[in-house]
Amino acid sequence: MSTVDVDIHTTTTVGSNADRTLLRRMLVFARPHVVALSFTLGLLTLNIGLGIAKPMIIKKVIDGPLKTAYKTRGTPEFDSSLLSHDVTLYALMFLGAAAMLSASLVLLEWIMNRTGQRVVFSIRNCVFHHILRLPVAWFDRHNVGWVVTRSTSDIDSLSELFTTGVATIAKDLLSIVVVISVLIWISPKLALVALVMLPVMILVTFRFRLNARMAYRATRHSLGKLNGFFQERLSGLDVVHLFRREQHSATQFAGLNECYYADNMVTVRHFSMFFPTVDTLSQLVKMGTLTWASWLIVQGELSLGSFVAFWFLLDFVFEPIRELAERYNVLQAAMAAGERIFGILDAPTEVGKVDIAKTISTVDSENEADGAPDPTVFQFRSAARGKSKAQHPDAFGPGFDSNSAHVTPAARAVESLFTDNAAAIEFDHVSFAYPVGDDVLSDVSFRIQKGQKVAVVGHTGAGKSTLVNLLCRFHETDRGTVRLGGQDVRSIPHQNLRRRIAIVQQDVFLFSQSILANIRMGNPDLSDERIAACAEAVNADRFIKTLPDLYNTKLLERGSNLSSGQRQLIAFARALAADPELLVLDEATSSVDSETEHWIEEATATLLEGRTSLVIAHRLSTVVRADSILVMHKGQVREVGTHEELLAAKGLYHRLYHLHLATTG
Amino acid sequence: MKAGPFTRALSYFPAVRKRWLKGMLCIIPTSGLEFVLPLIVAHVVDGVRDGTMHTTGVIGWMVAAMGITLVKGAGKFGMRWYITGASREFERNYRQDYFHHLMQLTPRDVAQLRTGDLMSRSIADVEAVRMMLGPGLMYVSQAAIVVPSALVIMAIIDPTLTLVMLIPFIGLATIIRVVAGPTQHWSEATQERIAELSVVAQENFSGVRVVKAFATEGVSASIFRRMGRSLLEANMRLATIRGVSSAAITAIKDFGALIILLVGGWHVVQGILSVGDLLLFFMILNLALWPLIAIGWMIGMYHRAKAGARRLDEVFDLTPSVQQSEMPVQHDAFRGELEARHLSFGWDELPTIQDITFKVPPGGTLGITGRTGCGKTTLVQLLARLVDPPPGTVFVDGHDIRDLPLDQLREHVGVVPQDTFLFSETVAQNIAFAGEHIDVDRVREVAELAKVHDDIMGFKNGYDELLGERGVTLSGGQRQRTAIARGLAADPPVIILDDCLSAVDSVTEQAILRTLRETLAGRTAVIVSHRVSALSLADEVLVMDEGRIVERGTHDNLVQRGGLYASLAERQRLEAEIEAL
Repeated sequence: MSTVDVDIHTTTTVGSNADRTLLRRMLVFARPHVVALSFTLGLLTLNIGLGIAKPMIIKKVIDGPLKTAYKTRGTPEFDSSLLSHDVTLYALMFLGAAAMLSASLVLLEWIMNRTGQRVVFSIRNCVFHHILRLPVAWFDRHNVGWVVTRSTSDIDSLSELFTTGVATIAKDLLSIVVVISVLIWISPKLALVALVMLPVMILVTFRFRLNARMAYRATRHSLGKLNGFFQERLSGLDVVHLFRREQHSATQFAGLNECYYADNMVTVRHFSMFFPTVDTLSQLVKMGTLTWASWLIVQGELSLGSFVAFWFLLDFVFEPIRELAERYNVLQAAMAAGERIFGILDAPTEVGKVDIAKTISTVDSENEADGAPDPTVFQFRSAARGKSKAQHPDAFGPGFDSNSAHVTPAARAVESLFTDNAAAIEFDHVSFAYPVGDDVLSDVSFRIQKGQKVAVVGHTGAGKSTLVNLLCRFHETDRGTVRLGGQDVRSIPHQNLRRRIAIVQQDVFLFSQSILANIRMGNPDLSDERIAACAEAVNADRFIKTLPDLYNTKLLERGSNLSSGQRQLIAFARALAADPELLVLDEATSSVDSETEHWIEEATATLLEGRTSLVIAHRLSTVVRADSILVMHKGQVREVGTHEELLAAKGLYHRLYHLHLATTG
Repeated sequence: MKAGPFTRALSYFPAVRKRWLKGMLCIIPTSGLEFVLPLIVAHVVDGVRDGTMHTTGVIGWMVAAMGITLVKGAGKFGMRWYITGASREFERNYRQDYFHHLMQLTPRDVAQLRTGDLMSRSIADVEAVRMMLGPGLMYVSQAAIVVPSALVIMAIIDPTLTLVMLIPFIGLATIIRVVAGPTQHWSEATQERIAELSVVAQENFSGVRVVKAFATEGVSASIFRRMGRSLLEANMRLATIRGVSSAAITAIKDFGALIILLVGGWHVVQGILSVGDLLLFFMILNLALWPLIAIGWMIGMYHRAKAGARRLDEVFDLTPSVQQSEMPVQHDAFRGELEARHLSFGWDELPTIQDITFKVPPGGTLGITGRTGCGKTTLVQLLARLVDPPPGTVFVDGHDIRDLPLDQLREHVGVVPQDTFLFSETVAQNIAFAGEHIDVDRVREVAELAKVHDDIMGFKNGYDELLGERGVTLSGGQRQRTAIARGLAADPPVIILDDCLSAVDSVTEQAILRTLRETLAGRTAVIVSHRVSALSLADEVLVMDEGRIVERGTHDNLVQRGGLYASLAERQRLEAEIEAL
């Protein structure tokens, strides 16, 4: 749960060395927006200037025409035309300032958001881009929910920092300094009285900020516990019922709920204290100022207009202090989020550590292509780059554009992985173990020739799926070498390797998009007709034709609106459409009805036809038709041969065969 | 009475009414005192100008003003403290009942709602209702006092100027009205788009192997980018609305100030208005405009609260599908006879279980087996009344289980479920989940029976080791054995073991079965399993297929018959042989 680690990270305070480094790293994302940011600062300055100008105009009106008129009223010197002339002039100035202020506010809000949102947009893309390129082993270690939180909520926390945070902090600081200067300029004596209380206000504000942050953290912590408990009791609701612990659970929940309430009440107390305190303090300042001002006015040391302006400007000092305290919290949350995000960006991808600045430029350069339909642009761009880069594998590795993304069938033939003189697949003394546990594969060696159909059989846990993981470089071997067409897989860029292999996994993963998109898998070269043909070849069109929107039917999450057999067939169509040189099929073990079973069997044959393939087989029909069978047991290849040969040998395969017969009755 | 959107929410209100009213009582004087200060200021300024007031007078007034300021500060504190406090208390009670209600529902009752959704209702929706009843009403009440009072005071001092001042007030109210709709629309759109974005992220990260296998990282990233862009657009719309409305509000304030300056200034010149009163108008303008802005927030708050209350009602309106009979049969001496008579049951019209009949005498052991999806688990759920069986089909000691008090039934019929859900508490707490009466010795005793004691002693903190994210992660076998210990700890006369040894290795399984044989002696047991070794303990074994009993008899009997059971036994013999190679 994300609520837990929030607490751990927010303990750092802004201003420490680590935070400065972090801040500098985050600013990398803002670099492309320097112009907009400086424009923002300019606007902010203008904003402050206009804010000060308004009371100053009022001062002019009061001290100028109004004063004259007031003094001369009823006397012959009273000149109404001069009065109205002057007043109109000032009124227009005031209106002008007000209009400009409003306009600058609109512009400011717009530009700050535009810049901030774009920065966040780019960070989000960067993080997503990076995550998808992390090794499968990384995903094995991290909970998906946690990763999703990093790429969504954490980035939203950054959003406030980049939209309003930095700019407003600058504005607030600037505003305090400038306004104080103006106050001193208007009347140093009066300013002295007004500013005596300033340190007290700053003290109160920051003291509050500290308390509020601690209270807030406690609240987050108890909320995390409350949520954790809630989620668990709900997930284990049956267990709760079985042990008749409904009431007891509710009592425990009440305890946590009470705790959350109590922590909230601490926050409530701080807030209830803070606002009235600051309010009272600023009013006391105003009272003091007024008393002192009236004395000065009587003494003739201060004009009425100056006093009015002074009075208005005081708010321009008090407001920013309050604001700054708020901003500080935003900054804190953003720093905590930034830390976690950089934790992910620092994790090495499949090609090792990457420079984030480069990723930003990759992601940003793609921004241009955003207006047009993505896949086409994608193809165009990759075709253009494919030529120049084919000879020089990009140091950055298999990014979006490191190599031809989707090559035409002709191009594919040229770049074929397989040559006639080397084995298509070769495992050369390969050993592998997952981080925790014993060897899953120990010293496995075998060769598969081009065009061969090979079935892998063995008991659960024999190491069959690991073969696939190593072949596709989802994991790297610990010892030994895996070769494709005589080439060490480690020397082939991941994406190039995987584009030539189609994998059908046991547990089919479908996206919540249309069936068409699920078969196409982003390949723009595939026409709708070709997709339909593929679906027909693997018997998938039979059920697709019965769906309301045919190929455009939108699937639910993980394809849950299809049966497991139907999902299998879509996966077959997807693999066939990819037209791979090497097909890796992990047959599903879940039971389907006999009719679907028949269609799947037939489709499997179509799929394997004339293709080099490695099948983790569960169906007898697949095994029998294979050119060669690898029998795996406890991480080793125990037997190799055809069905007849192996049966005749009366070894492990023989027993597995009988086990299979026993299972299927 | 017709139930409105807030009928249920408001039923939690009386409990906090006193506190809330105290806060409301604070509002009235504080709002009134807001005007005292400007009035004093005006009075002092005029006094000084006229020369009728001298230093002592000024200081006297100012001391009074400072006193009033302090009183007002205290009032503001009280208002926030009581009202927000009351709203927090309201929130706590509302959420408590929500959770309590959820605990009565079965997982089947809330199947359409995801856990994350139920959780966000418990936090975000309860909070939305609270915001309206607490801070929302507080601001509205303040506005309701301040705005009219401001108008009255202004009208008394200078009616003409007040009339002109209505222009900015009406302007502001109009802007707030106009902006409320689009703001709500676009903030909802933003929320939706954020949700969509996290769905895409979730899906791609879950299916990362497929994404990688088809080398479509680029395509996924471009989809993600496109959705990010649409979020950006929604955010920009929102920012534009916010920018324009805040600029408009500023402009209106400035316009108001200008009116005061011009009209008021003219009146000063004419002698209708004193300089102090001119200042008073300036101060009141600031005082009276912000409550109007607060009303703008309140509109948004109200809509969110209404939606929240509705979503909570959706859950409150679900009735638990398993409920205690209104007149439960009192049955004290449990013998432990379990019987099913022609039990048929289906989910959504589809028959899952058909015509199951059996009778286990007290102390007897029944075995149930069959392929995945044959209806075993549903049968267990029916026997334990996690799901209601039809009347007159399942009996304990001759009583229909629907007529027995739920507490009593659960106490006497224990289940070790297939899904060995453990909580993020200590091992000891998990094993003693059934109740406080299970002491340390009992926990240890059952852990030894379930062969999990040695594993537990291997943990750093032994029985006090936390399970889950912040503690140890148990292996599948360890989980199952812990769950068995939990099931045994309550010592129920009837125990149902639902495929609870599947993840345990065969050596440990044999060891557990040996101890279980002793433990189960004198106890009625139902053993659901795929393993022939476990089923061989049973006096009678039922073999199920597609919801029906297809074979029944003793282990030896069934093996001889050469049907489904025999092939299962044969298969497991071969498997054991292969495993041994």
